[in-house]
Amino acid sequence: MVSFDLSPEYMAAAHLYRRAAFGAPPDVIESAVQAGIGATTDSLLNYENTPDPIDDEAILVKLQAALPEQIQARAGDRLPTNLIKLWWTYRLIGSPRPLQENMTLFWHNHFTSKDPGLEGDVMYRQNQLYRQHALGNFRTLTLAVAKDPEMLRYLNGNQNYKAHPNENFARELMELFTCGRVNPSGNPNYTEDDVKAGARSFSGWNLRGGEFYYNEAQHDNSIKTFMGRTGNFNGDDIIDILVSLPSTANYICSKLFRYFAYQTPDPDVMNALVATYYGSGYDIKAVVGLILKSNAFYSPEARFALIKSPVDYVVGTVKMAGMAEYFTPPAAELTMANDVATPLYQPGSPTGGLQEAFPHRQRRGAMGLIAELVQSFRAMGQDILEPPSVKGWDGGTYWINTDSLQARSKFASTISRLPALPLEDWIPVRGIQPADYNGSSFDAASILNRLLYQFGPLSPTDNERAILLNYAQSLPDAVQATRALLSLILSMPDYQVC
Amino acid sequence: MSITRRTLLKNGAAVVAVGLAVPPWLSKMVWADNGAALNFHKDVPDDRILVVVQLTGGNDGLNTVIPYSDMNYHVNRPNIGVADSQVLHLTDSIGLNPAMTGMKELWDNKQLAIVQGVGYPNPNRSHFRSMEIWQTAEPETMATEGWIGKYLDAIRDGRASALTGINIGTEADPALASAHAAVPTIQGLANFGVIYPSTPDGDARQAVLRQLQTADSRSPYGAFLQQTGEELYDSVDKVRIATAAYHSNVTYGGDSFGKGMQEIATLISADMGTKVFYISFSGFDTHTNQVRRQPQLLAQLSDGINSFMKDMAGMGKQDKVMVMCFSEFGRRVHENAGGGTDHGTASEMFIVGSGVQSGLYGTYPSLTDLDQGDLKFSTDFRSVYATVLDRWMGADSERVLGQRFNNLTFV
Repeated sequence: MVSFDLSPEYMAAAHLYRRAAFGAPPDVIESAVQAGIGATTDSLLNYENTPDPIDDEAILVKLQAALPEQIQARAGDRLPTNLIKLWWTYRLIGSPRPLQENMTLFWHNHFTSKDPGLEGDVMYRQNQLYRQHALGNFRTLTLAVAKDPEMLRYLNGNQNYKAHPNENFARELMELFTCGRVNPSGNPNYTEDDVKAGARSFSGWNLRGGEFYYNEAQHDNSIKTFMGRTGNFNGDDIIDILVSLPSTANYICSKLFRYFAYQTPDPDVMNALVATYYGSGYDIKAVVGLILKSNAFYSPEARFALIKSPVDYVVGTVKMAGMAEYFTPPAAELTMANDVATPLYQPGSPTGGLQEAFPHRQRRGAMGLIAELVQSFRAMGQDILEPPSVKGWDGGTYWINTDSLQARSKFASTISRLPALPLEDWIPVRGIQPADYNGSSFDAASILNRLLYQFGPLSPTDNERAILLNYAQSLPDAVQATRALLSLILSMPDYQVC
Repeated sequence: MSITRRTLLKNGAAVVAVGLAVPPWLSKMVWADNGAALNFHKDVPDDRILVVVQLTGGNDGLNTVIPYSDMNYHVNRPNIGVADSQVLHLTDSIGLNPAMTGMKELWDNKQLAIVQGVGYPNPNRSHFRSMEIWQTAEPETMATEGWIGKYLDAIRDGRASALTGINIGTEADPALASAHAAVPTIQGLANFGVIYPSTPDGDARQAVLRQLQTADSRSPYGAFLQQTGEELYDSVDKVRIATAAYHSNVTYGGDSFGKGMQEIATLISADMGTKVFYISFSGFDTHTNQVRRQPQLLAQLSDGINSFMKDMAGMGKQDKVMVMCFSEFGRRVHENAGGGTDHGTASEMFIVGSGVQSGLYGTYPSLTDLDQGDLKFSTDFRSVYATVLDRWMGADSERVLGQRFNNLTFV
């Protein structure tokens, strides 16, 4: 039970931000309440009205310069995919358009690709493609994906020739990207003959000089029968047919609903989503907008009903702590003296330096704070840009196991030791002055309440509260109590869900 | 358990009702501690253990098990070839790299089987893809689960036990990827489950963390999270007990592979019911300066396994343990200009244990009948896996590998 009163509007706005925007600190949520939930939702959805000052190229240049010499020498002109992970993490935290980043992540886990090593340039392009179409048109996006250089490599479109059709892309296009393998009753949505016809239709969709190239001589120009229709189909015809199928409408709409709301939508909700999918001409913004404004989204069934992904967990913690700017200074202010965030630290800070917070930093070389976050994603089971297979991450309960729970607690411990935590915001002045932070008298309950408000709001059981308070009161001062409580709260079962 | 079975049933039912598959932890209730009925083949003892050693980077098989009597070996490797007199002779045609005295001793003790010319059709020379093929045992498709993961899922039959398989290293290995309960990765036994610095305050906070992670919570996944937390801390306790109880007179090397093998010995000493241990050893991508680097690695490998087998003998478990060692590919027959070798294909596998029929299996690949400069394989690696699964683990290899492969006779 939260021992302070929060309005239903505040709880709703916090819910919206946790789901659509990786969370936000209380001042942002208060502003959302002032503006109204409807207007806030519209502003998240219509992100094109929000300027995005992030200079991607400048950040990449800085990151490249920060690479250890040995890796630079090996990479030459090529970009390590690990570097793109850093850049994207910067964006996940720092973008003023959080729903756009969230949908970029959704598409990355939908139209999956992976290319570890030095193929960062194609992974970057693909990631920008998902960002460009984040809430765009599903048909347009699917067509662009079919021509995306990384996708052509990953699913072997580049080896799809008239005489030797490669079925990899056509199969995954149906199984994972559009209609799904089976319908809700378990009956197959397509046959092996459809896969073969689909592959032939995409034959000649190759690469030349790293770019999509329609290799007409390698395209199979014969008549094909695909999903019960017959014609001299090309790849775009296949995509037109697929996106128009009811199975695709169901597959995409239910996947989006599960991503934002909860596991199983009612038939009424599904019908409305599917109607919007068709009515809008496959407009993803219309479908996501309907989900985020639905009663189902705000129903009790939806509250704290999703297990946080590692990205939700890590990025959410940084954002809810109000530390997004600290992790993402403008590109011009990034200096690469062995750390992406070096200038943000106060030399000789009385609360300890970076080395104390991240003792392993030196060993990894010039990777810095953002790299800690990328490593944390990975330790928790979500190595961004390297999904485990073409199926992507299963998510849900699969995020939680004995390894990932430890990784979450270790991250919680690390971030709670950061010198730059805004502790002064969290230690209530009532009963204690900043000058007395190191004194022995402090109000542990107030600190606990403040942290539960900041990072949720969370409502632990009386038993959990007692455990936390009992421990906090045993600590010597307010600063230590605050850091300890933070690390523990972020490890609680309540904080693993959003 | 800090919650009653009734609570678990109640909460579990609530989670299932919202449309999830039955989570593995729910079936923990039926977990039987005696480990009975784990095996498909009843004649195979059910306390056998498999240790898989993954050599990452593509170990040069030709300079590991050396065809010293073949002139083509020396012709192709004028600079990095090992002289006949240096080779540790096993037969009148092949022998071990001089650094591998530990393996030679195992051979002399009849504890070492070598499967020669192991590979798979249409070899892939990408580290990443070839390793994935070995890990998933699916050369033709992109698979989600690893072969060990599938084996563990099969023997667990929906039951969860975090320690049925253990990965020693810094990151999860795709071979252990499973559809059900994840296989824990342990990086240093002393650190397993230790979240805070080992100070009095850190220990106190650790205790509070444990209380919190296993406390009742009202979140919809509370029971699930609590169960996973409990499983984690049960495992942490078992590992801690194992670490404290382990005593051995055997000396291991100070390198990370030796340390890892000793950690496996430590965990085995505690009889935790672990069926498979997996350990990766990297650095074998010897494009340059191979004569300096590879012998160091092979010495660590061979000493580590030798010490481990001695340790097992000291515990009376030498008959219970099999070590299987592989790499994602061998290397080209001809040395390169940089004093090293480039990515190749077929290579050998080592199988070590007192229960192993010592000797050579398969045929050594021809050094003249090549495929694009690379050795042709004669034994599919999945035959080796099938042999280990069927004959050593008593499992049904077809269920794990998706099809039947000929068994070899090293077990």
